[in-house]
Amino acid sequence: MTDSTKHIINKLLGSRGRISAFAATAVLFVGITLLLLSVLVWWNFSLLLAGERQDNHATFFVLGKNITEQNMGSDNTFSATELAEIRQTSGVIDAGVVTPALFPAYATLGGAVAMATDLPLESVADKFLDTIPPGWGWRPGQRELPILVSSSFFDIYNYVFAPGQGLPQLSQKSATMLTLKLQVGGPAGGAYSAHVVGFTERFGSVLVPQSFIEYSNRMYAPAIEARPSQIVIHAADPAEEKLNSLFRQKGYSINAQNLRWARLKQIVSVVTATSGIIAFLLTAISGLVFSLFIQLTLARAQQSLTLLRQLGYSATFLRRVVYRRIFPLTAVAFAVAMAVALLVQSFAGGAAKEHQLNLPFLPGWPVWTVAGSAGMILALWLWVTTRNLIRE
Amino acid sequence: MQLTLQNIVPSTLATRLQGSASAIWGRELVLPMGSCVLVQAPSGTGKTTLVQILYGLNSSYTGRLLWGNTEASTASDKIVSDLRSRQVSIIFQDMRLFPELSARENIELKRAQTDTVPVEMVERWALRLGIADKMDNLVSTLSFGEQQRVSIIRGLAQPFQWLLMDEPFSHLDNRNRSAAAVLIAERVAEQGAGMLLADLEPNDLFPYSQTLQM
Repeated sequence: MTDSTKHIINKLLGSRGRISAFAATAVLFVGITLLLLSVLVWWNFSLLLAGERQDNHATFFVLGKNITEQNMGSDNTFSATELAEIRQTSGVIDAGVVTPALFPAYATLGGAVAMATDLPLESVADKFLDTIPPGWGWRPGQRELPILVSSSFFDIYNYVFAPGQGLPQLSQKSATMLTLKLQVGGPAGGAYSAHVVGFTERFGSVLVPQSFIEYSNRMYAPAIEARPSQIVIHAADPAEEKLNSLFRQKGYSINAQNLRWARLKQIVSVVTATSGIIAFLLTAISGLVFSLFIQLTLARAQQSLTLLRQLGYSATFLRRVVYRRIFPLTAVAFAVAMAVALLVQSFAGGAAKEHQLNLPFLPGWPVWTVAGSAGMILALWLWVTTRNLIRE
Repeated sequence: MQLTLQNIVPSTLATRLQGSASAIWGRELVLPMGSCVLVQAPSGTGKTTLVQILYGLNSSYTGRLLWGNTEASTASDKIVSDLRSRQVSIIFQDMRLFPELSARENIELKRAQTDTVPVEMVERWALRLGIADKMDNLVSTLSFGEQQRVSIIRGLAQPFQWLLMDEPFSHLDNRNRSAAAVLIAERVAEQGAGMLLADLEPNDLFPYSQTLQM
């Protein structure tokens, strides 16, 4: 087919409908863009909520027994059976004990920050820690003791204790440079040089290595059985209602602050899913509008198409001419929508970086997959529509 | 390619033809390649129906039509398209031009299908038929006579073994009719093709080898 024939057939197929073609392509572009942006929103939130830092909040929480009027004063620790039962609960990936120190621990600090205080020490297995800083660990005979301080505990010092006692407030960095003299097991016990090596968001006390607690409990409180009053749990979804109602039934209390993040994640998931459904519907409507434009174009040109068939132009040939008209428009709509998605993701990546969050600067596989699938579905739809309108 | 009609009776004429004799309908008729056939009959007797059946536009009939060895009723879209663009050409009674296109574009649509007739030749034909200065005009602005000449040139702008014509000169005066007939005869001779002219009255425009009364 010569260029002049292409031009003539395109003229017969309605070159005067350029404004309609532009409008239909614009509607298609809006639909695809909304779809891709909704996938971007869902994907970015998923990354933010399931990221390493956020994962600590979302999937780990500490469980204790509710202290009530009825059980106060009695033994509220967890037995080995209860621990085994928790580990077997559906939705629980792992569970470990928070081992308390059964001996007194007294810390003193000289210099500008002169103070002395009792310290609530406890430990958990390293796999339950939200941070394992360099130098974490302890072996019998070692005088240096690394400690992890709860961020909320440190806030209490900075905002409550220090101003009231006339002590200087400390940044986290400066706190790591201080050396605490730690006396454990009373005056006749052991003395250690304790260094703050990091801060924990997950636990509310002062953590020391598990080996230190086990050793010191044996040394300074051999007669007391170390039964845990708190259990740390790694769950697939801490906000899962079944899991929570089970724990409530058993009278266990859950760290509500940690759960809030998980619930927020659930709400965001629902919001993004809803926006995704709306975007999908809008895309389907825009695809329908585009398809109707094709149908209208071909219906208008039906008389010309019939005469072209009579003159010896095959249905296959005429369909190919129509495909050459509509597929570039579809491709343009997709290309511009992808360009918008690229720009938005690049902007989101930059904005996240400013807030110390980690987001990619390019859209990930879900966006490409949805774009590819939508493209294939639309192409198939247009192919079938054209085939039905130009029958052999 | 010869055309074979085997007992063809169009459904629209079935009732009227019962008991009456016809040189075409309801009998075996073979039109050998290269023959020059005049189908002469008054209005309403099925001339246009015959031309449309032979061109594959009308399949509402009983009997069989063979294009060479190809059974028309079972021919695929591709075969029919190929037949219409390379083997059988037609000049419609009602012209069937695209009114939104110019005369040149109407002819070009046919010529470019096979690109076997040079553009210059088409221009010469237009000059001979007196429409050279109308080639860029929209067909809808041309007179019936001019449209008929465009339709004739379009019918000649492709290779063919048969040229089917349905009252092709109905809007032409004697001078233009003669000029068009000469051009058609030349083109048919060049191709070694056959031709079938359906018309109301007998004429001596072509050296007919067969005259059929409906």
